[in-house]
Amino acid sequence: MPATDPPTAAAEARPPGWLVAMATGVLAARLHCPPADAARQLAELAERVHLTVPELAADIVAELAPDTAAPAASAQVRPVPEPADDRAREGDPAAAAVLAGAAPMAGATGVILWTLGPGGSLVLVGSAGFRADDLAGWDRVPPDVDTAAQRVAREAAEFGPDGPDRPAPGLALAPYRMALPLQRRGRLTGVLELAWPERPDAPAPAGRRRLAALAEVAALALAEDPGPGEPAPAAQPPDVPRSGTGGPETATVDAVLDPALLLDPVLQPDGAVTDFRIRRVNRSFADPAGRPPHTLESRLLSEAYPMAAAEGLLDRLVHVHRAGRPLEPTELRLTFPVEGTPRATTVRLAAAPDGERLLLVWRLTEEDRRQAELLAQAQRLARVGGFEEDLRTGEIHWSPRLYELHLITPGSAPMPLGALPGHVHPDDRDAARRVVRSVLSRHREASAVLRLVHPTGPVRYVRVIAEPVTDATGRTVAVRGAYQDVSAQHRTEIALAATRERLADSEQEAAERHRLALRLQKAILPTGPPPLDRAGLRAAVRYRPAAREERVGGDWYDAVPLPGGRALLVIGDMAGHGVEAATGMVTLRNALRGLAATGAGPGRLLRWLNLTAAGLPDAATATVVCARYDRDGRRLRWARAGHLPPILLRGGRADPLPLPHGVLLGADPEQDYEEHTVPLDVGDILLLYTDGLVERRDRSVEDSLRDLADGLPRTGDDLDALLDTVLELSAADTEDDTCLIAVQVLA
Amino acid sequence: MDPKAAPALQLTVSVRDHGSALVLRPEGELDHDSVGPLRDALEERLADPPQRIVVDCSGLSFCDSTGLNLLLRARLRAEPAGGRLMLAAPTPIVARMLEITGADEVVEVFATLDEALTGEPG
Repeated sequence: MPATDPPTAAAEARPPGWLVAMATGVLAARLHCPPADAARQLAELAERVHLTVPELAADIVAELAPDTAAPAASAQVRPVPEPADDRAREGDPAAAAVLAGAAPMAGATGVILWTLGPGGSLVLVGSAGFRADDLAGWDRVPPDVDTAAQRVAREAAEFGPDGPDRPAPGLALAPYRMALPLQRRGRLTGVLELAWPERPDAPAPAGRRRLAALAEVAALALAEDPGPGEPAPAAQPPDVPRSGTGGPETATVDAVLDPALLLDPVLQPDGAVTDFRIRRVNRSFADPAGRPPHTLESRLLSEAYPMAAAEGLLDRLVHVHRAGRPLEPTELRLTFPVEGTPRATTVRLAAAPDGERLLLVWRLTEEDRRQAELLAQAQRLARVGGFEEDLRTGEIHWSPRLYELHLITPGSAPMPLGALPGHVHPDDRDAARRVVRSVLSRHREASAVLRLVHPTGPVRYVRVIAEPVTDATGRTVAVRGAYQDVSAQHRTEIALAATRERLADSEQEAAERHRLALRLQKAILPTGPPPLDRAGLRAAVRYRPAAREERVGGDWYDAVPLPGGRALLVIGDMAGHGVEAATGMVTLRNALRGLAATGAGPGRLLRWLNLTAAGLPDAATATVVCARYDRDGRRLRWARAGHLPPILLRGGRADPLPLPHGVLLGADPEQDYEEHTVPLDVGDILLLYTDGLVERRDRSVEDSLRDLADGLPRTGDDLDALLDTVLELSAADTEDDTCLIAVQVLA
Repeated sequence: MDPKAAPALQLTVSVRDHGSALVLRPEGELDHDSVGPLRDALEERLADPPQRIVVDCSGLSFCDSTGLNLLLRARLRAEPAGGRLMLAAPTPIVARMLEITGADEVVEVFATLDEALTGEPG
């Protein structure tokens, strides 16, 4: 088990859960998600790197504190502390003004302004009297960190003076704290925290009144702040659920227990409202068409629900907005597309103005909700086809997949449920008849697994689920349900086993695996230039697959924007070829993206990645360069695991960077990775590549590298041309795959 | 054409016992296509490894990541059974590759075969 850097002595005196809570806070701040989601993400990351949650948390927190226990490597870099968000600087004049008032009064040396964040967290908005170092990691404090400020947030009452052991930002400098609730219109909006190096005397009544006045001023200052309700940046790892912060503005919709949407009116130039934009949907909300909630946010209502909007939903909402008065609970029959099939659904809805916005609450009726759940359940599984038959008109709707299952061309006449027994294996006919009878004659839900047969196609095992739809009088007017193809699972398992038994190097399997590997690789390596402009960078990428087809390999790159004007640049090379290398590569790439959200530096990231690699099957090994560029200061911080160094093109020269120490991944779990910091200039170009670019059987890699560097064009900003030239110059003769990425520093 | 014939031209492996040590000498180029013979030779003996397994690299003109991976895996397999796998006399190109990847910190590398046969753990 690798030793973690010990937290500072003060940290050790704190309660044990503190590190985990801090690390959760760090993740919550970076991912802009509530603490509960951040805690889940932390657990997932810990699992990936085979550490316990406290161990990973200790690593994350150690990255923030000045590294007192750093190994004595000459190029070891002290991690640069995270500055607070840009927003914090807006709060600073207010904080400074408050400090100016507090200082003469009580000798306070520090002041921190907090605002309320989602899930009971506190967000640091402004401070004075503290260094950026002291506040690192305190951007967002989850509710279970027992600071003076959190106490006040919970109880909405003044607290302190207290100290010196309670956790607090900048504890070492000024351990005594007092915190005051900040209120606007009777609601708690934030907390004002004061800090002293020595225990202050409890303020006299006059002092208290002055503090109260200060608190009012601070609350006003907060009100001018934009607030924490901003959408999450694009760089989020894909597996964090529900992006998008809530805040005071969206609190209403978040608090509603029924499914609800918060809508922004869309105004025409003449002031008329013709549509609404979906600003936020709450946790209870489930899209009747089954789309994930976050895809609905920011869409126009008429675009997300075109049929419903046309059927009267939009009119009613426009009326609510114009009249400024709520819509009482109303039942409407609206149409939503489900699995490609329009389905009429009875919806009970209510709407009310919420400030400038509109709150829409809706509920599917009981019967529709059951069906929606049934279908949702079926949709979670593979290969489902839905159907609905109107027994009065004889109209039958089939989803496209159902046509597929029955091997009928879409558009030709679908088969009614009643005809099912004629399409199944003779041994299953009785079961099929039972389903039909239950639903059509006895008006009861039924299901069965049957073999669908067809003269020309394969036999398919399907689970049929069907239920009657009744009208207001209880008469069955329609039937609906779904078919789920369960044969695929059976068949795949049998086929896989059979394939394994066939010789491992049969040509057919090799060709299939190669096709799969190519597909995987194409899916993994993004084609367009990476979006790094927020970090002040421009990039271009080339991937040249191996000359011989079966050598599809494990090269990958990644270029991910990070919060605060930073970017993560990665190039990697998994040993081996084919499906194993491709899947191993994906595992590492995704692990690195997830871990980068902790804010840890490249050295730490590689240490965690090495632990992840140790868990890959078959003793897989890989080489990687991991770099983090910070626009602020134009600093490149990088580390490598056995990989060749990037080449820096600057002022007509091209030189490989000096090598920091780092062993390839997967060889030994107990490895540390040295970091180097390279200041970059505007116009600098960094070239990251895999050894397929320079590998030669008859020359050392360094000679090949030197030749390549010497041959590179001296000037020019055309990255694409540069990469094309590099590929042409490449004298590699091993026919391995090659990946290169060129990154240029802009303004 | 027998698919195994082509790689055999790129790599041959001779195996001999030297006292209580086992010496494998791959000759040629060790890469994705040619790992077969070396892998087979190692497989045979790793099930019950001798205390010392030396891979004499003096005849190895080239080794790529697949080859390196094979050697590292073999070392991992031998270790719990009490076997020490080490490399001897790598050629300059191979030595440089071991250095850049950091593999020379994970597996013992000796400059000559003699040193490998008599050397103690570093």
